[in-house]
Amino acid sequence: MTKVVIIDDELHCINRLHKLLMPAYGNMLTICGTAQTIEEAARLITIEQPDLVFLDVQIHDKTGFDLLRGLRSINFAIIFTTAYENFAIQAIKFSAIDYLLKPVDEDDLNNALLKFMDNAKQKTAVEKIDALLVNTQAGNIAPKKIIVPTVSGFEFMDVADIVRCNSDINYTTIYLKNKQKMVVAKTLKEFESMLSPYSFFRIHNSHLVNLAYIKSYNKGKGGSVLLTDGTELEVSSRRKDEFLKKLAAM
Amino acid sequence: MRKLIVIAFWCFAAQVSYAQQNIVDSLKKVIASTPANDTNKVLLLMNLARATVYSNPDSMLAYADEALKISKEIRWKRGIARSLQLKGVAYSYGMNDQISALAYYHKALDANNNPKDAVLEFNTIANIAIIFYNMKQLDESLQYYKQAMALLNKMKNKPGEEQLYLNIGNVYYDKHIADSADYYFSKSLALAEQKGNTMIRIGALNALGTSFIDAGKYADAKNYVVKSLMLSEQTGNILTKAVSLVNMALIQFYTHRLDSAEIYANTALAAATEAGSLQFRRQAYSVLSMTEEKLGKYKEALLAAKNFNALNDSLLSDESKQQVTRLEMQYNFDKKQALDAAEINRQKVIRNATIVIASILVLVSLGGIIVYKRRKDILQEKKEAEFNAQVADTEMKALRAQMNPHFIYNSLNSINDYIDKHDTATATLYTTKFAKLMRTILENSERKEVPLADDLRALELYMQLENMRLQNKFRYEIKVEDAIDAENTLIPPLILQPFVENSIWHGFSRNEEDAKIFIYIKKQGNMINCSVEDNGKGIAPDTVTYSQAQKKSLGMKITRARIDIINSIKKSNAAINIFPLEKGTRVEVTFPEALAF
Repeated sequence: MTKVVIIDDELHCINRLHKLLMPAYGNMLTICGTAQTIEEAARLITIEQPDLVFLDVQIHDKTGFDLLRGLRSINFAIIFTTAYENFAIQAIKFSAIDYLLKPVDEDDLNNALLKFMDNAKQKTAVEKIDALLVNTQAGNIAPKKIIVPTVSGFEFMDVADIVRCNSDINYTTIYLKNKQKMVVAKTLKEFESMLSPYSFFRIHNSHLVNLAYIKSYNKGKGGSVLLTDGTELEVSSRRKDEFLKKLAAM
Repeated sequence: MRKLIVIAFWCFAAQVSYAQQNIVDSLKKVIASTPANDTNKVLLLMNLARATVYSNPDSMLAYADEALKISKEIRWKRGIARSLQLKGVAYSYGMNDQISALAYYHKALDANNNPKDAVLEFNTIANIAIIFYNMKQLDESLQYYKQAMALLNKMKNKPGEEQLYLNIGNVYYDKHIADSADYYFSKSLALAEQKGNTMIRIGALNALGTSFIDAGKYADAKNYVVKSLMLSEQTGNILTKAVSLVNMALIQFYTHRLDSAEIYANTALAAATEAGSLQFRRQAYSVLSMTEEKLGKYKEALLAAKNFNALNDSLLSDESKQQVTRLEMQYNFDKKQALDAAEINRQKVIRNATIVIASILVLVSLGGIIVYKRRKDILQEKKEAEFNAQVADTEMKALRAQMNPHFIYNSLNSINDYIDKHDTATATLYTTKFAKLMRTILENSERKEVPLADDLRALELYMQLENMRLQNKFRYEIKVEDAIDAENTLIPPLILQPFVENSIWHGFSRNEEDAKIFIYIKKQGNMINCSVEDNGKGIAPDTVTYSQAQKKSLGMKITRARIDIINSIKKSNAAINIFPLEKGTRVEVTFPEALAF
C-alpha cells in the first residue's frame, strides 16, 4: 500500500482529493493523514514517512516550499496542488515536479498518479527539490535552475547556460554553453512557455534562443542571428519585428 | 638720363632662335611624317613653335596649341606645362599681348608639378620678370628675378645664369642703383666669358661701358667698350657694333679727343644706319653734333643737330607711342587685376551670402521640421494613446462578454442544482470544466492572438458546459480545413464565442429537434474564414429577424469593434457577414491569416 498524505489549508480541498482518491484507488493507496498547517504537516510527515505527498503551494501565509525547506530529508514523491497559475507554478514547472490545478480534474489526477506509479513510486529526486528550493528562494525573481526530463532520466542545469532549443517534432534538443546537447521529451512549445519570460525568444518554428547568447543579427527578409557558439539561425519573417523589439529592450 | 643702351637677351626658356626658313621647313616635314601622337611629336612641335616666334607669331601659337592638345591626350604633364609656357612666349613676344602672356605663364606654373620641371619654372618666372620690366614695374620685376635667382641656385648647372645677371643689372641700372648694376653686369660678364657666351659678353661689356661713362670713369669704360667693339667686329653684329661705337665716340669726346670722337661718331652713324636703329642713329648724331661744335665745324654741327632733332621727333613719337603702348598695357593689366579682384570679391560676396542664406534656410527649415515633428509626435502620441485606450476598452469588453455574468451565475446555479439532486459526479465534472474555461479566458486576456487549436479547445469547452446545462439540447461539430495548420495559425481569442452563444440562446426554439452548431474554419485566399452555423429557427416569431437580433447583440458590437481594431492595425479588410439560411443562420468572420512562424 502506498502511504499518502494530503496537505492543504482548506478542508474542502482535502475532502475533494480524498473523495477522488478513495473509491478509485482504495486498493492501492491509503491516506494516512491530512494537515492544514506547516507545523502539523512536518510532524505528520516525520511520523508517517509517506510515499506520496499532495502539497498545497499556498498554506496560510507560508508556502509548501517552506515546509520542504524545514524537513531534514525528503523521502517521498510530491504532487503540488494550486488554485492559480503564478510564479510558484513557474518554479514547479522548472523543477519538473508534477502539479494539479484546483479544482482538481479527475483526468489530470489519474495522469499524475499514473506517472507516479510508472516511476515505481520513487521519491522526488533531491535535484528536483534543490532546483525548486533555489528557484523559490526569497528575492530570486528569475528561476536559475531547470530540470529537464531526458531519455535516461533528467538533467539539472542553469537556465543561463542554455544557448538554444531546437524543435524535433515532439522532442526538443537543448544546446548548452559548454557545447553539450541533450534530447528532451518535451515540445518546444512547452519550453517556449516556460522560458519566454526569461530572455528566451522563439525566433522560428524550430528555434528558441537565449537572447543573451546572440552575437549579431544580419538583416534580411526575416534575417538571421549569429550565436556566440557560432551557429547561425534563421529568423522567421513573422517574428522579426517582435524579435527586434525584444532585442532592443535588452 | 641716357637711354640704356644694352640689349636684353630675354627669351630664356624658349631659347628662341631667329631660325632659318629651311629649319622650319625640315621640322614641318618631320612632324608630318610622325603620325603617332607621342612625346616626340610634342617636342618637335615645340621646337617648331620656338623657331617661328618672330617670323610668324600666329603659327607659333598654333604649334604651341597643337603641342598642348597632344600632351593632354597622352597625359604628358611636362608637355602640358611646357606648351602652356610656349603659348605665353608667343603672346609676349609674338603678339605683344602681355596680359595673356602672364596668364599662360601662370597656367604653366600651375601645371608644372609631379614631377616639377625646375628649368621650366625658372624660365617662366624669369619671363614674368621681363614682362614687369618692360612695363617699368621695376620692383615687381626685381622680385621675380630674385625668385628666379633662388631657383637657379638650387640647380646644378645653371643655364641662363649670365643672362639673368645681365637682366638684373639692367633693372638696377634703371633704378639708378649703379653699384648693384655694376655688380651684376660684372658677374654676368665673368660668367659669359667663362661659358663663352659672346652675345651676353658683348651686352655686359657695353652695359658696363655705359655705366662707367655715366660715372665719368672713361678709362675703365674704354676698356670694356674696346672689347665689346672687338667682339662685335668678330661676330659681325652690326647693332652691338653701333652701340660700342657710340660709346667709343662718347669716351673720346669726354676725354677731349675730338678728332677721334668725330671719326667714331661717323662710323657709329654708318653702323646704326646699316643696323636700322633709329635709337643709335640719334645717339650717334648727338655725339657728332657735340663734337663738331667743339671742333668749330658749326655747319656740320648744325646739320648733325638738325638730323638729331628730326630723329628725336620721330623717336619721341616712337617713344611716346611706346609710352602709350606701355601705359595701355599697364592700364589693361591694372584693369584686369581690378576686374579680377572685383570678380573675386563679387564671388566671395555671393558665396558668403549664399552660405548665410543657406544656413538661415537650413536653420529655419530644421526648426520648422522640429516644431512640425514635435507637434506631429504629440498628435501621434495622443492618437496612439486614444487608440490604445480604445483597444484596451474593447478587449476588456470582449473579456467581460466571454465571462458573461449570465453565464457565470447560470453555471453556479447549475452546479447548485446538481448538488441538490445529489448528482455530485456531474457537479464535479461541471466545476472542473468551468474552472478550466475560466483559466483559459483569463490567460488569453493577456494576449492579442492565440493559436487556433487552443482557441477551438476553449470554444469546445464552452459548448460542452452549455450543453451540460441544457441537457444535451444540441450537437456540435468543429471542422478545420486541411490547408490550415491550427497550431501555427493565430486568431483573436474567442472571437467566435458571442455567435455560438447567440445560436445557443437565441437561435434555437424551446423545443428544437436535432439542434446543431457547425463551426468551420477555412482559408479564403490570404484570409481565414471562420463560420458559425446553426439550424435554428432563423426568423423570430415577432418577425424581427434573428440576423437583426444578431446585429444588435452586445457580442456583435464587441466583435465588430475588435474587427475594426484589427483592420486599423493590420490595414486589412476583416469583416463579419451574416447569412440567413433556409433553416438557421450562418455568421462568417473573416480576417487576415496570421501565422506564428
